[in-house]
Amino acid sequence: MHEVGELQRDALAEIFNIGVGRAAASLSQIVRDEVELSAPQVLFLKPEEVRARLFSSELDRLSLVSQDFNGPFDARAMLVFQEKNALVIVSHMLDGMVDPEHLSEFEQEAMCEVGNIILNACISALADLLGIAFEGSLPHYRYAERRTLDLLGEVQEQAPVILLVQVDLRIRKQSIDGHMLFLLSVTSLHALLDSIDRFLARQGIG
Amino acid sequence: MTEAASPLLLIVDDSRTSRMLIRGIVSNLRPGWRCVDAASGDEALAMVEAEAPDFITLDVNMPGMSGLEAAGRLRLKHPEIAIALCTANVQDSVRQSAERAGLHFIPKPISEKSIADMIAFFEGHGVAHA
Repeated sequence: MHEVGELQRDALAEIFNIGVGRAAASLSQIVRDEVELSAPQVLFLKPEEVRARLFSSELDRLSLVSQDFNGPFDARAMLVFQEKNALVIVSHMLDGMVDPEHLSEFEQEAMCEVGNIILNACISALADLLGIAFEGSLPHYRYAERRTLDLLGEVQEQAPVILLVQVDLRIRKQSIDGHMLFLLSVTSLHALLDSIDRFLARQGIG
Repeated sequence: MTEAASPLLLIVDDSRTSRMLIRGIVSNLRPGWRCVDAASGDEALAMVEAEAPDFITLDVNMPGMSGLEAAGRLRLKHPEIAIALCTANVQDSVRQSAERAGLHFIPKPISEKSIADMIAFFEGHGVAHA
């Protein structure tokens, strides 16, 4: 397992906390409702531990938007909802603009845009705080069954350790639970920790 | 634009949802404006050559040419067109690039207020509208 200092882990949690807060503000604007957040959990896991850790039994059918970010380090960011909740989010987003019977036609594209906005909000906060810049890929949307989900893809092949930042989102009145995940390879983890050290040094900490 | 023609806004975004949202708010705030849209930077450049709009909103992260690159090309040939970047990529680096290029920056998700600000920017760009 990777050696990560207590201060580095704390700084990571705080930086993601700010990023996720920005993301929640964006989601709140989209669904026109308050979004509750859990405090981000920063975990270092082996790939085989990730799937079991992430998804409880109520998330059997998943709606998932992923986006790759490349810069001083590379990360795969994911936004995960229960499949049935995706349409609820889209209906809030397109409120009154699309007839309800045609809503499902927009689901894939609208969820891509929701993921794009939320994941970028979080990554942008990370970039700004660390004083770095990322290029983002286009968002990719898919459905998946929990038991067959190839969550890690290429990252799994390269990475004996995964940094997982797990956050639970809950939209009031709607009981929509979601998760945001950030997967990094070991190489990228080293680069991230270097950025964290520089961030701490700029703050006069560490 | 002819003197009699109503202002023309070109909305460039690979997301149909975003194009619909922007068009919906603009149509409410400025019913007299005409709105056309494009799904990529290349499509937008071709449309501008066919009929130059008064204003353009550009997404940044699109397939093919990025919004920033499209803005640069448009600036060279059509410096008179007012351009706004409308993007989920709210990194400081992108905001600064927009500022350096003289582009209005609209963070996504859009709101009625952010679109109203964009319209004020466009209308202050030297084109008078009733």
